[in-house]
Amino acid sequence: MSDPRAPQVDRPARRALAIAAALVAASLVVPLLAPHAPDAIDLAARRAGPSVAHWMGTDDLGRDVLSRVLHGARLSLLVGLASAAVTLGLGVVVGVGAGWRGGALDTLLMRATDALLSMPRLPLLMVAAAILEPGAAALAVLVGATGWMETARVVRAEVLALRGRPFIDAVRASGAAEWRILARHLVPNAAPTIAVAATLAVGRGILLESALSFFGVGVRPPAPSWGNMLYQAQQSLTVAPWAALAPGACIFATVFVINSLGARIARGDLEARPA
Amino acid sequence: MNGFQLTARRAAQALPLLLLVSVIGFTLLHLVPGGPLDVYLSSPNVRATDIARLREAYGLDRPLAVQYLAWLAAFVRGDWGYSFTDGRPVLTRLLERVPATLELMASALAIALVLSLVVSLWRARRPRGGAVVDAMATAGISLPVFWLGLVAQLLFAVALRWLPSSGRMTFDGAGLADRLRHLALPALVLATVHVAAWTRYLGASLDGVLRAPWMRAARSRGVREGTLLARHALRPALLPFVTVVLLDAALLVSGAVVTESVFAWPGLGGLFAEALARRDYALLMAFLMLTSTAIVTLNLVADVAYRWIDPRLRDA
Repeated sequence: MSDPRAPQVDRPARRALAIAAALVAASLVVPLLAPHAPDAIDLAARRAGPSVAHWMGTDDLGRDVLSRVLHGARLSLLVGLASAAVTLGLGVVVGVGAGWRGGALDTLLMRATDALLSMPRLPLLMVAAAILEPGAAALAVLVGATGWMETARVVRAEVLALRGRPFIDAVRASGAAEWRILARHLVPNAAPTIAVAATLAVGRGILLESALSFFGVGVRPPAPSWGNMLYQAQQSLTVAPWAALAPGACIFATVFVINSLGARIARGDLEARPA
Repeated sequence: MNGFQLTARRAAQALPLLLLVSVIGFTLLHLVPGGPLDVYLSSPNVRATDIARLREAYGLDRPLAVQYLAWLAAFVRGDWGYSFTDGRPVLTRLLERVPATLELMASALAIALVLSLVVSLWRARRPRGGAVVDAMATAGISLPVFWLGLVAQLLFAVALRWLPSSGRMTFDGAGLADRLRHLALPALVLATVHVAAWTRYLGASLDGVLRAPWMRAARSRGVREGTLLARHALRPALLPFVTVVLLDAALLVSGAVVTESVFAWPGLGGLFAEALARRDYALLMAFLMLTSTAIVTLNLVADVAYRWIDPRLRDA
């Protein structure tokens, strides 16, 4: 690749990246293609199996599952991506701060990171979401703010490794300001590490949103998200299994694509490194 | 520093975390609009003056910090309050659920350990199968656990009728076979995430060990492939794996909450989901404290175990 600072991405990774981008684009465009309004109730066709009119069947209230899945993609991906942005922001700041400065700041930040890692994340989030009743944006912040610790750790390790490399000394010797060294030279060289952390964070964010919504404390009905569709479908699981299968399969497929992308980037990065 | 001192120091460092969890939990639970007594307002027989009287009786009119210290003092003495929903002591309600949770967690862990070991060793022997195993492991960590549970119920309980869909036993005092049949689905579902995560980890660490120069040395001495893998490669790869397993305690807790509520397993996780749906605050608070204590303890054990297993770290 021409730009040495760009993340080392091989062809399968680019393909996966394209798929991920296509997913996001589709989630924005496809709701327009949905055959029905996501909240159109058809009481005559409640819990109807897949048919020509309703490709994925209908749910408890006779709403079209396919249309709800398409619309649900928006909220699920939004929460996943926004929470990952929060996670990355916090994780990179803490990781770079600890790794670059070292000393007492490093000790303090890493102690805090280790401590927060042993909090019961899901139960705490469930209680917080049940009481605060956050909207989609606040939910993303909650999920992101409780998940930055692993990112901080890997970024710190990467910064520690990069800090002693000659090119950093060279930039410093040429009189670059500290923020410039960090922003232009250090962080871009940690890009593959950060990219892998990003894919993990997006996947976790989507899974956590769906888990919270599954317990009825995440995205509130009637707005469809993949998680709260499952929450509603659970009650009539044996009568209308299609209402539960479709949104779950979407969550799984999306997170799988994103995680595979992360695995590819990690492997590409590993092979690109000098042994 | 000897092992005992180190353990004591780590334990002391864990205390602030438990206090932090308790402060977060306590503050959250008092942020509820109307406070914890809000539920009584849904009854037409309760008037505003009754609420005021109750607030005073429960000490809810005192400053939050004072209430927190009072709660903390009681909590440390083992007085964990009473459940809103059935009036019984929280501690009793939690303790009666412990055996079921331990049964589920222990079986899931055993399944996950065996499966991840077998799969990683198989992967190491057959490099061509590596890609398939890796893809499956990635799939495993991408699965929403509750959905996996629902699909397993649909497939094995509803469609095939091989196994019961929920509960721990058909009736009180049911035989071992019945209990095992109930245990199978939730334990397998709970194990899946761990199998996937651990296979990824063990696979990567075995890959690293297999490339080590002393592996080539051993092979050139004529050590058989099986022995090579089991004795020379597995042991160093297992070293960090032990801590990974113990550090996954937090994952196990969230997995249990989800799995138990999907399968109506009468354990702590199911109780938590129930308490959440009914906003049983005393119970929620106690559960948060109990799980964070358990996680912190297991992390402490991981720390000590790592030093005990790897003699090089003992004097460090």
